[in-house]
Amino acid sequence: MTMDRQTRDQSHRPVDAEPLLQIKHLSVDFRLATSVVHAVQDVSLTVHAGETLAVVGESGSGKSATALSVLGLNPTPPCVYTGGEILFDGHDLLKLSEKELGRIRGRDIAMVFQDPMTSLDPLQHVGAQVAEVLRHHTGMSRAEAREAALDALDEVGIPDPAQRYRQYPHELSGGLRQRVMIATALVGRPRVLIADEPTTALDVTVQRQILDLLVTLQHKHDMAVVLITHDLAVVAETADRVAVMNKGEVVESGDVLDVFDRPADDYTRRLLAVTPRLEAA
Amino acid sequence: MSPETRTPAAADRPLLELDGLRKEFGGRNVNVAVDDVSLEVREGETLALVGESGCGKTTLTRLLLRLLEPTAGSVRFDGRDLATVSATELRAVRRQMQVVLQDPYSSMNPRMRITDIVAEPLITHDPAVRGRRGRARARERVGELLEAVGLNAGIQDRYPHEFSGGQRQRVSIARALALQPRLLVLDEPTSALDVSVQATVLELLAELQTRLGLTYVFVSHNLAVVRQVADRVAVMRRGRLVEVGEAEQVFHTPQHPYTRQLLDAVPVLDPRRGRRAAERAPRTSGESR
Repeated sequence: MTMDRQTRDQSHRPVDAEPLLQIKHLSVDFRLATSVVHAVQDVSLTVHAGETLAVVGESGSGKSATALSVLGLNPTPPCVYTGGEILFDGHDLLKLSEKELGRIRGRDIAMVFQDPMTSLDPLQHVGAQVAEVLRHHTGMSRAEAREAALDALDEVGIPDPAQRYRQYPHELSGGLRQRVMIATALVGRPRVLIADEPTTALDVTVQRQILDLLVTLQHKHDMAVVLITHDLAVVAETADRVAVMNKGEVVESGDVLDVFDRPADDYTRRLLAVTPRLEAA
Repeated sequence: MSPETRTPAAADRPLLELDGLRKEFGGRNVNVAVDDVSLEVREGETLALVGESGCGKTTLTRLLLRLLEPTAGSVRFDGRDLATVSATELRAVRRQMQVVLQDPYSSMNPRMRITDIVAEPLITHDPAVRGRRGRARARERVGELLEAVGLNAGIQDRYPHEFSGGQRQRVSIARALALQPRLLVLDEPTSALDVSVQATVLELLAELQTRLGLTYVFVSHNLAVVRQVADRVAVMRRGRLVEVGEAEQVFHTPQHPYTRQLLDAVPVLDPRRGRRAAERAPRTSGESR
């Protein structure tokens, strides 16, 4: 990212506030049998407590690879982290061991994925999957974890949590499954939530509910949210700041109002121009 | 078939008429997927069919293509009732209605060359392109079709995996056009594509419609896309049409509460007007929270 792009990135926070999560000059390669894909190239991003940073781009832009790097979830091999650092709480996450990362995942930094059907365990009651996070990270007893999990299901708006607790993922609608996944992500009270296309598989009315839920919970817990999406309208609705990615690079980042009002990069302008609008132009 | 040899639809007769269509699935626990749907599609227009997952829109398209038998009701294409026409006539009607599906990755046989994929409907319906002598004719026609959808005629001997999602969707469109249909059912034709690719495919569809006088039934869950392409909009919910109207009217003055609910749910591409605009306003003046 060049300096003139960075200068547009003005936070509304006091200058001295430290970002909670800082990605600095991250580069990620995928070394395949016959070629190397430079999936992420010199990407720098920051997010503060209580703030939503949207990372927007089309397929192959590197937005998911960037997000997965934070918790070391890119498959290695073929993934190789070739440069940069990811700073959280004074640690470079890229340098942590798998065991150390395991303590951060779900407790300090949690993730929500696009498809709850593939991220939830089909053979376990959904409530138990929420409780498992607590059992893993805290010394909670089975009964305590169950109580906390019921509260978590209630908090994400699941009606009749006690009954739902004992259901399997396939017994729930897509919207309820996504709420369960959000509950598993938030039950550990993370300070950073990374949401990778959290509403892409959902119907528009359900998408609305889930986006509203994420915003409400973010305010309640003063979480930092990194929202990975392909949809500029979702960005406009939820983000404080936005980073636009194309072919592995951040081509533009800044306050969402600035980027939408005065997109500086050609690719951003083109993306805004081709996104269909509900209101006639 | 050239346009002149077609039966000209009487000016006041729709190309497609659905009357009281009903489709039930299942035995003891009957599931009514489509419930008393009546709808007309006029020649040359784009009718958008919108609704959320499970509302019955895909079943409805299968009924109108006669890929499914309705439990009750009728489908008339160009005035002919598809339930009563002879097998020969049904074949003739089927040539005139073609379909483009959502996913260009799963809707083509990965082991067939592009030329065979596009020529398949020709070979099924047109004896003149069969056999050794027909083969040259088929390749020529496939070349024309590929060029019509903005692809190079020279790609005929390549395989689907060599192409991007947008290019594959163009191949699907070329295949759908092979028999010079009058009606195209486009079932979420751009939902699997990136937004910049979607834009070019929508442009192509608009251009083909004007050039070939095509009629589109455009199935979509994306109201912003529908806004861009539709002349008229039919809103479906739980197997029923809750609202049908001119696109302008449906988007500006929706009559049914469900239509309003759908429109309200669509994220707005304007950070000053979306759901968070109010909470954002004071912060833009430089205050911190």
